[in-house]
Amino acid sequence: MTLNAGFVPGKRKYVICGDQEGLKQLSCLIERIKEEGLLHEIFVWEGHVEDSQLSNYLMDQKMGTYLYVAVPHRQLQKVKRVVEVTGLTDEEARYIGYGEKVIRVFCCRCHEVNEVTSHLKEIKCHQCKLELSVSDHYSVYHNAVLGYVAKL
Amino acid sequence: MYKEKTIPVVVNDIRDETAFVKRFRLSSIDGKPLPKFSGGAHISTYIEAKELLVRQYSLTSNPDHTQHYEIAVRLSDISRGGSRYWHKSMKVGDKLHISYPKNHFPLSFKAKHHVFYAAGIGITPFLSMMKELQSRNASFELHYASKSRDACAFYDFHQKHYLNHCRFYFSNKKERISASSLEEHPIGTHVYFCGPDTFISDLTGSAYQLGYPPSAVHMERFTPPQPKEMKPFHVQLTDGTLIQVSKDQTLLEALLNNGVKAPYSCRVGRCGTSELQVIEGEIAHYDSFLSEEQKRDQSRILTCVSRAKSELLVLNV
Repeated sequence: MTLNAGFVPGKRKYVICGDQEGLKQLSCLIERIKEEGLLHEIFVWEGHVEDSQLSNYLMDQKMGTYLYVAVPHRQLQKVKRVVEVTGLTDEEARYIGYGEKVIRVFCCRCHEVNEVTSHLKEIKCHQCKLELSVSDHYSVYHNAVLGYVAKL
Repeated sequence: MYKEKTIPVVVNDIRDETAFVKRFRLSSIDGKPLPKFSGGAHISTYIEAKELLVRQYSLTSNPDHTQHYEIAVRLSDISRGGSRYWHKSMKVGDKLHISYPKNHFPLSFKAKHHVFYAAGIGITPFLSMMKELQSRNASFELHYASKSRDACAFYDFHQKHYLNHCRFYFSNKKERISASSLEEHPIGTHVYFCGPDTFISDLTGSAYQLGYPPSAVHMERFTPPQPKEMKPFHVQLTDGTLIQVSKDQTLLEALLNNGVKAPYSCRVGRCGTSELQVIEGEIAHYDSFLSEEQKRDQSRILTCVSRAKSELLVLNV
């Protein structure tokens, strides 16, 4: 299966960042960029890549660069944080996660953030043991959805 | 008395920056500090001459120092009275009213690096912006085009305070700002353009062609883009009144001349104050306020600059 990453035209350069599986899933996009003869580079995010390696690489890029990131859902937010610090905004980057989706649930009582698989409707906070109902009330600040009291 | 709340001020210093640019220092009448402002802000000045002259000027002084404001005025070749009055009639001790500061050209809080492109008197909004950035230790650079060293307002000031941040381009030395300069800016850069319409249009076009995101491109126009051909048209008001807009006047002027209390402020299609709802008719948009989607929607018009494509516009006023 390949992911539909949505080609964004009109950029001077495309950077595709991902692990082997992520790059495989973006193969259609990479083919299109190659066919159109557009300037591009691939940054492999695999194994023991330090955050600073990606941020140093991105900081050498010029305005007009567009970034695609394809990594497991579990790593997506970490990569996004590294990217945002370099100055690339959501207008200049697209983030694609694959595999099991993990969501972060903010406990309304103890404020702990619990990482759980996305299909769960109710969870137990691993810190205060309160049973939480997983809402769709998302906080950009916490990068988490709010967990309401499910059962006292 | 005026359409907006104003502050009485006195002119307490006038300096020649170049043969055509004068700098004016304004203080409050009671000696108290003036309202705070942010880099890129401007004021409207109200001068009671033979007719009321309302003009907008960028604040060029330091936003942190509001004991006085400074503005710089270029004597316009086609002055309709404003810049001529400032240059020929304004004296130290003269009193006038100014608006509270407004900012349609603010600095981006997201930018990692700010790059200013100025041509001629387009330097003025960047003076307060650079002062603000310097006080924040933020990263910036200036590309400043002028006819010559002598015509370059604030040249000595920039050399003294921002030596390593500035690059000058003098056309009498056949130096030009090239769009290729835009290719060199690192990611996280925001660019700001101010100068004549063609200067802004060329650089904006080049930035978008390179793939700059719209939110990283900022501009301030002193004059709105001019339609290639100015055609007369009519507007109909809700009470059925029909008003003709001649090819030499703006829709706003036609409305005001006919006693319609149409709102306005900047008169260059930047602030959005003159927006009116359009019930029927096709609009030719020349403003830099509405989004592309809003323009396509054809349901609102900025009367200070935009016109009709169709022969008639029906306005909700």
